[in-house]
Amino acid sequence: MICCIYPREGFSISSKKTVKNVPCVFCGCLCDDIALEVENNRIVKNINGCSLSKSKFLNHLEDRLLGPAVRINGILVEVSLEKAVAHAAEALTSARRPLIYGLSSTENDTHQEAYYLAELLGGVVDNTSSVCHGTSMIGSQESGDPLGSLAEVRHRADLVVYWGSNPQFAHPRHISRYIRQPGEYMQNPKKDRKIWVFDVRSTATSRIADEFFQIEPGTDLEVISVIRALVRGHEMDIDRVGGLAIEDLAKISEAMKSVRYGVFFYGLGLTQSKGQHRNVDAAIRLIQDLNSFTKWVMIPMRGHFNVAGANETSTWQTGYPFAVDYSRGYPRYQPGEYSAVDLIRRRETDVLLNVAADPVAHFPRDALEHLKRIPIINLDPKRNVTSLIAEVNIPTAIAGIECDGAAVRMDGLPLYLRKIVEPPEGIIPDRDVLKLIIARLRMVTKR
Amino acid sequence: MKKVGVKAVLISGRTLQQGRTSELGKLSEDYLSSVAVCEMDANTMEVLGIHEGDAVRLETLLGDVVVRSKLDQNARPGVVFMPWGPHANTILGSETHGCGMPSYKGVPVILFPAPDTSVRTIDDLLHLSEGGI
Ligand code: SF4
Repeated sequence: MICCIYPREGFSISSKKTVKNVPCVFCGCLCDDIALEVENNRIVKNINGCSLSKSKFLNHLEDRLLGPAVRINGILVEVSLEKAVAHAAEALTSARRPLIYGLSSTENDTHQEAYYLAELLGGVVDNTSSVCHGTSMIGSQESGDPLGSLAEVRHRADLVVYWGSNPQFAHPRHISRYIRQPGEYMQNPKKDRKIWVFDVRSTATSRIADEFFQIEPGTDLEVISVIRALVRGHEMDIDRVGGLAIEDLAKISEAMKSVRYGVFFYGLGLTQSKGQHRNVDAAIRLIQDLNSFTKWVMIPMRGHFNVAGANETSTWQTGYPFAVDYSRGYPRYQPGEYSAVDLIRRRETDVLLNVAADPVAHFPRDALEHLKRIPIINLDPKRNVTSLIAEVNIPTAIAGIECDGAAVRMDGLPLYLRKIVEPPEGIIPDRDVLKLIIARLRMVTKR
Repeated sequence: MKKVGVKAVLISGRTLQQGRTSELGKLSEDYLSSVAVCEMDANTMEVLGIHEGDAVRLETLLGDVVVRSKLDQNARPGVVFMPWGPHANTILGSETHGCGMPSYKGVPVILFPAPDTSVRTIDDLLHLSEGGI
């Protein structure tokens, strides 16, 4: 059922086209200046994309799930889409605590169907932000959201801080596209725009930064709190914190107060480290404090191309950004209770519908133990680790390559995704598979 | 087998290689070799008596896993790094302290040399994790 898919019949070898201004569907930068050359329904060249982008677009036909499959007596057997949908609907209706999870590597219309399905089932819907920037959501619910835009950063920022983030690896064009480019009020960014990195280890980004401040693991909260205190003019009665001298932190806080426009980009080094949402909370308050002196904004370095979209659509439709429970018929929100890892770890989830994510590859060991015991319905274009243990695999079209839709950039800007090539024969977008499951469910339950 | 272990703090995260190879196929050799590694400083390798590429066993309160060692010239002793993926997850806990986020960073770990031990494939990890590794 698995292999590389070769071009569909009906496409002559001479069918060539170049498509410009395509948003890249890998990371949260959603770079929308990609040019693709397509030959015979296969993308053969990616212009402007970084190595991650090239890998995604040029290998779009590699390692695909070829057709719907259902596990019968322990073996995955290819079945029709109709049968796979019926099997999925049956598993979901017989579950007491179904969980719909993923959504960050697909487009916004799929999210809408996922929320509707969760409501119909009285289940839980969570997106992958619960294991990346979910703590940023909690932090901003407590303290606010001093968000800026990437365009504004490019045109105005003279100090760029990356805290716990390594864009050279995770967002390879972030610096070249937004930070090293000249802007309206920044003619010579190489000279006049400084990059500072705060991290617990030397990284590819810290090595190209103007300043690197190496802090001890798990001390982000202390370091940020001390910078806050210094910004507010308090005297400190200690010499060092988190491996940094107070003297240096005093210089850092003075420099932060005296820039024209500062931006604080933060990654999982802040959100996943000890303190988690408290780290983000402290960083937001630091940015608020700095705004008494000059202009500062902060932007989360979102990983998957539409994980920000998953938070936005979830907020529009359910009122909450992730970890939403419909078991009482109305949405309730409680990270730690209804977040995917917690539900699975506590063995509450009895069926998992995974959409465009790979929890078996990314969840910790004891969550994985439970995932191995429950039926998983897996919607993904490609073979992934989850597909190995799933009870139902339904291959889907790759959002932003084989179907259109909308996605949200790390700074909240929605962008329209393009359909570049036809999906393989018989393969439809995630949203359409979810619609089929919903239709089947309504037919069976007469709801 | 050498019994000396080195204490460190484990950070897991994204690497370019891991991101790129995940698009080639999560079950490919390339992906396996990009995630089943632990990056560390030269001192740690010296104390362990290993060279780059040798197998190393990482032990946490949750379990242990064997991966290839990789030298990070810029690393300091005391902090080691693993790319996100099934191997790192084998030794990470799922306690979220009420916020939904497990501890992917800052986990205490002890490293041991693991001569004559091979790195497990993803298939192996899925089967073996049932009864402990
Ligand atoms: S930086 Fe991100 S969005 Fe931009 S081309 Fe690279 S992977 Fe794609």
